[in-house]
Amino acid sequence: MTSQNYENAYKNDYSKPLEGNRFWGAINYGLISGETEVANSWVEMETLSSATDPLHLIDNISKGNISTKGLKTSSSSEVTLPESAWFVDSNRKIIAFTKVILSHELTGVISSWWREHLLPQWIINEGFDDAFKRIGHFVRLEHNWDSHDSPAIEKECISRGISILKKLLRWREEIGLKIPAPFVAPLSNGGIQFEWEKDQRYFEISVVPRSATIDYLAMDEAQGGELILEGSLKSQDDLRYFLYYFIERPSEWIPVLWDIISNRNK
Amino acid sequence: MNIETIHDADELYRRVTEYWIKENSVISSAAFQNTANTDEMSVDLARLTTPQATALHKTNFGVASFLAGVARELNQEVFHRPVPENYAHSTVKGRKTGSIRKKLVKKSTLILLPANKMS
Repeated sequence: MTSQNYENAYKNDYSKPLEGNRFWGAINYGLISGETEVANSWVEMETLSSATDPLHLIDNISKGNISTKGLKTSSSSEVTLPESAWFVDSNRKIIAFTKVILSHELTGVISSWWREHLLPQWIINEGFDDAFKRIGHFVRLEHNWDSHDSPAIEKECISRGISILKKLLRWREEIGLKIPAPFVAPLSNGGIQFEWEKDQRYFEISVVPRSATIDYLAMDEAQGGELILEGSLKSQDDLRYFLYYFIERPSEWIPVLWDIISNRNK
Repeated sequence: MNIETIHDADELYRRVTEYWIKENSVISSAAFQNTANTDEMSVDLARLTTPQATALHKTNFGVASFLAGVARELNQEVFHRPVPENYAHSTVKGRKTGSIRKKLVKKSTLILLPANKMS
């Protein structure tokens, strides 16, 4: 019932330049005609319904896998996608950073073959699903997406952006840091920006192409003046300190944050 | 083409994509980045155009408005640079750090919302 034929998507994907043998690809999913009965169809159906609209809490980690099966055989091989490498967007597409599977790698396959996506399961909290989906959209922004001649968003920035979002979720779960979901925006230089704004406080970080650092801006006008901290984060700890002090603490703690960051960077 | 003098009180229009508008219709500072690999940001001189023309008559774009004087206070140069297809085209030139972009946000007004941001 819910097997999907991804031949069309694959035709498109093969035309793209490959990096190694991995690539970003948008893959349509959903019921199509010419469906095939599969043994675990009910499992797939369950996953489909829970992973589409909306994405919601299922499991503690993100995961997804692609089962590749022959059209008329029970033989199959499975490939697990990299943990951080997929999205489901509002247009019912899976955006996956996946591995090309060549026909000679498919044992037991007769003539043509089918791909089944057992959709990923992902923990999503308080608006983070929107952030993930937005980044999923960024994958498909083409050159001049903003009409200002901007390049497409760099794949590397997409991956780093996803890693940051997942790190934020992990910090929420593991150390109880109540990090709100950020607003995520594409940048004209091909990067991605994350923003948090509450009352008179503002914090943003950005990942940009060909730079290993994360730039930040923290602004606070709560004391009637204007505090601006701006620079590059040197580590995940720096980001965590900023989020902890800037989001959770009163303004009096900002100098403490500044001391920590300054001393760490000496 | 004649080159206009842009006064501090002149309004500038910046075309913004739907991706730069938050749920509460607040503009992201991402909207005020320079064009890639340049130190310039394209705007239109308001008195020579309309918000709809700045938005290219497309519903997925909005328009933010700010004063030339505000940009100059942030150490930006502002000048008229018409192009064949757009006489109103102008440029805000200068390095735009995160704080400068955020200050532009605070001094800007979203005068045209992308269609999908209208409630």
